Amino acid sequence: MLAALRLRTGVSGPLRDALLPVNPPFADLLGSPGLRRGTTVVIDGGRAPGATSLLLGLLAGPSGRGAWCAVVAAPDLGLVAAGELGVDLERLVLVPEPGRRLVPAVGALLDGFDLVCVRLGERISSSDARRVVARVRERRAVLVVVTGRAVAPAGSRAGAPTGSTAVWPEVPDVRLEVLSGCFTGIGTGAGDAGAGRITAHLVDVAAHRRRAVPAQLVRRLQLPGEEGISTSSASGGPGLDAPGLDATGTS
Amino acid sequence: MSGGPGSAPRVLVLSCPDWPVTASRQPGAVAVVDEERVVAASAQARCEGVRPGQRRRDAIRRCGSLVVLERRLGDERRAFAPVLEVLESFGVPVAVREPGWAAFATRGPARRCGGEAALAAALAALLAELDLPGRWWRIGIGDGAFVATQAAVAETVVPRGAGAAFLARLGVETLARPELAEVLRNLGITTLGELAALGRDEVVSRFGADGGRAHRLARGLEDEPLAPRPRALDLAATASLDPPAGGLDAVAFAASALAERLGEQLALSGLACTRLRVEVCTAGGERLGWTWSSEGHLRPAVVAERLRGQLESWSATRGSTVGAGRSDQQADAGEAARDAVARVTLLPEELVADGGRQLELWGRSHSGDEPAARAVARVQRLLGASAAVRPVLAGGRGPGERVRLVPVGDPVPHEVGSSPSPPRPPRPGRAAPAGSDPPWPGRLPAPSPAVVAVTPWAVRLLDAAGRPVGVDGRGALSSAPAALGAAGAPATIAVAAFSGPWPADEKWWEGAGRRRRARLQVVTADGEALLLVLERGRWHVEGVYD
Repeated sequence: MLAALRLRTGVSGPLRDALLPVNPPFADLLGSPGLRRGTTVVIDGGRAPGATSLLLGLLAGPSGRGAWCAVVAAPDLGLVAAGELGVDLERLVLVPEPGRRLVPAVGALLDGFDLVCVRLGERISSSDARRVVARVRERRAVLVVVTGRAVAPAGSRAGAPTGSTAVWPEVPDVRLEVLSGCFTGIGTGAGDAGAGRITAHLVDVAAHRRRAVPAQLVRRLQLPGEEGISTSSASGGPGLDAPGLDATGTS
Repeated sequence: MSGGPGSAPRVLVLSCPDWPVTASRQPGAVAVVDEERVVAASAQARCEGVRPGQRRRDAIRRCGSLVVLERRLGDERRAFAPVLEVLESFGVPVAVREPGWAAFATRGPARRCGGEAALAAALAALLAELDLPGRWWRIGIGDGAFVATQAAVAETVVPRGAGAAFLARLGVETLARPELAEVLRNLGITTLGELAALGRDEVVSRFGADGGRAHRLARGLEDEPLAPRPRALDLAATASLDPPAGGLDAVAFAASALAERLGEQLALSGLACTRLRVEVCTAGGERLGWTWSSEGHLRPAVVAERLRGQLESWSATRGSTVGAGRSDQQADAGEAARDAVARVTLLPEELVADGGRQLELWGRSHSGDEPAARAVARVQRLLGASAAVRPVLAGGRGPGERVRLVPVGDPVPHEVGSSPSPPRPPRPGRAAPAGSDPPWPGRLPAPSPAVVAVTPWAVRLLDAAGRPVGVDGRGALSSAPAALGAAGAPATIAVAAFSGPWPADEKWWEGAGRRRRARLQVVTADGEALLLVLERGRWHVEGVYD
């Protein structure tokens, strides 16, 4: 009764609720229907690719329900992919290159945005990180930090992607770690060389949760697909040692 | 529980029902619509059954002779300015929530007029002199703005401490919180008196902080103090240039910095400027001034740009008048020195509460927009207007295939959404470096790469024998790729899988040359999937499936 009342009054409408609702695959992964306001999420792509798609899929739920999202320091964010993964571009603001003013820019955004995402390219000092986290808590926003393997800004690299070493110095409330993944649909063997195209990206993702039981959940997600992100049908067990799934996708 | 005298100050509210109609000065049956809904209707239209909230269609069906006008906030504000002057003539700060609603604290004026009723009568006499049709205003006095607003509906003076009793029989709709009102009605609470009778804690626990505020209002306790409108003159911003600046750039820069400072000051007071006067004083003592109005924000960059344009045309006319003496170099130099700008002043002439303006920044209004818009404005002040952008899907080779980044607050370009053929060339100077597609390859079906290189970087793609892989005229690979390496570095990584190539012949714009390119998806041995593009014999990484 009370819950129904809340929903109808709009006094505590979905946007002011304690949780920013996420799409079902992420609810399953997080073990919660949404992201709790005032918390920090780290998406760690250091071990395998997929962090950016995870970020976009995570944004899809809140942005589709009217939450404002900002993405900072990701000039190379694929916006077509964002749309495909369900992000409402009308609710998305980008600050692609804040340069040295990353921390003040994030601070300002936290005042008005429900979700602020940062791709950490450079090391951030613990005192800065602590300040940002305090602001997140105070403004009841959600901070998502993407670390690891992020592709470096244009021009600073000569060759294939190199992992970024920047880490978030604070302990996040949730850390999503891409454990491994493979791409489906792309030609591999000698017979079908060059055939097909990438149709989906299957990843095993671990959610390390602070102050939650169990502390770790592992799910297999199907990253981009025509219908956005879904929990892969193969997600029976922990998936880590599922046969046929390795980091290269060449099994 | 009786409301008590509390701390709410005595407030006079001037309320003008259907102000949009009054401001239009249109006689007869008139309705003003905003987003296809009636927001105001003239008395004659109301007689025919036209009501606010109705759809335009329904209103026209009810009243055949109805004149339907689109809402024009700017006109409403301008028409309200003389009304504000009347209010300000009482010598106290005036608060304005929207055109058609203004208030001031009665303390001083009531004493000078000999009582609150006399004050109301004096004000009414002044308002009647304004050249506006009909009896368009209502005046109410009470404890705090909410009670006074309701008093204005009844055109009465509610005595001190009698707010709660006065409000008790009014419906919960008067709280202007439709969803809350609906729930309260469903719970059998129909009047403010019944709401006020509930315990405060009970209300807060059920309806949150906003419910608590509503409860305070119902009890006749004001919680929103009047925010008086600062006098525009107090906010004038001046910059002296020493030495005087001859170059337009320097002047534009000074104006931009000044506008930024002014903007910050206004933001602090929750105000936005809709009419700005810019005055320039030259070293020769000449004064120039221009006034600009804007429906949206007057952004610093816009102010600077406009000033530059004005100065340009001004100096052009000067050039023609001194044309006769052009042979005399010295006279010319003296002229230039005198025309150098010594001082720039920005005078905000019309200020409005910030809310409405900020929403326009986003082109539509949602409850959550305002804080977000403000946050973006702060980032733009911090990093520059173009630092915060929003993606706009643009017409191109297919729906959703091309995205343009538009600085937040800038109008969305018109061609967006249309899908003209031939496709438009990428804008020079924006995002795409010469010789590359706009930064999102749109040829391949979903999924698209989640990371799109701002500047595609060169790589070497080799076959098993170490020879470069190419694409022949029929669009086939010369050999199977086996390794990928950074351009100019010996190290390579094995190619575990690939798909393609997909040839892409692009005739961007007439005659500028055909571009032959081919795309290839590659998965490397360490599990990374890349989108490569080949052009003029060189492979580049265009996107990463991250």
